[in-house]
Amino acid sequence: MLSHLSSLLLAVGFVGLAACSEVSTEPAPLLATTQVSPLASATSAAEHTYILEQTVRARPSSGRARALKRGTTWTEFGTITQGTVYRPLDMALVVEGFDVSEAYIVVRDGNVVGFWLPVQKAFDAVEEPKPIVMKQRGED
Amino acid sequence: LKRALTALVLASTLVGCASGPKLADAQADLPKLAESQGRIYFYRTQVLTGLVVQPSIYLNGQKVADCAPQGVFITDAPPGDYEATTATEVEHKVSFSLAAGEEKFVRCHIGIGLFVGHAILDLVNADKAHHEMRDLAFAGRGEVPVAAK
Repeated sequence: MLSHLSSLLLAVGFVGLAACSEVSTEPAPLLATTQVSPLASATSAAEHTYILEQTVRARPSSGRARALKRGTTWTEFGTITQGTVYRPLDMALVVEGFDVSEAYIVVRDGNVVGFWLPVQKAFDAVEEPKPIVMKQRGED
Repeated sequence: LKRALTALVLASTLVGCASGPKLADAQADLPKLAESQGRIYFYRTQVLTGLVVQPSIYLNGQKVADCAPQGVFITDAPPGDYEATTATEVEHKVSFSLAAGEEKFVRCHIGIGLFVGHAILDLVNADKAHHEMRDLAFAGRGEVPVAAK
């Protein structure tokens, strides 16, 4: 009986581990940076800072959709081959496989096309590009 | 017997939790964050869940905190890329980038495991983290890693 229970527990454990998919990424070095230091002046920071006009739900390769909430603030961080990278200033954005990686969004032609992982310097494409509208901070 | 059991549970709870002043009270005495550094908070809000499971937390391989119930550890570190890890049955990690003057918040919690609860790390928004940490005990400052990864 005990061995049956152990086997069942092990099976459940393996299924649980298998369910944690790996994040599928491709190398994506920054081609140019426009990042603003947290210590930069307000004027300097505002030039590269944007407010999200509506909530966007984007699903990375790991499968769990991320909500980019209306009213959150983003700063232009740089560019990669796939588009322009924006870093969140007031939310913690991550993509999750078995482990957790901080992520920034990648925008091209008005759509969120993926996530950029700053530590891995890698691009994680979304399943389906989603339209995104941002306005520069200070604009009416 | 009921009283004795209650007392035992309470005692073990108190022993298992991080001790020290509340973070809000301790922060006035903390050194100001240097302009060339960033600050990382490691905290755990859980009390009873996985009480006895309190694994260490490593930053780029160097121990900086414990996943202690109701506790907050603080580490100042140079700008760079970091990987925070913790392990019980399996290792779990969260990677993030830290800029000068920036604060990052890493929450540890104990989830379900096969034989031992799994320690899981999350990156948390500043607003939410400040709210969650307000009544936690300041458990100490971790060592500054020698160099960013």
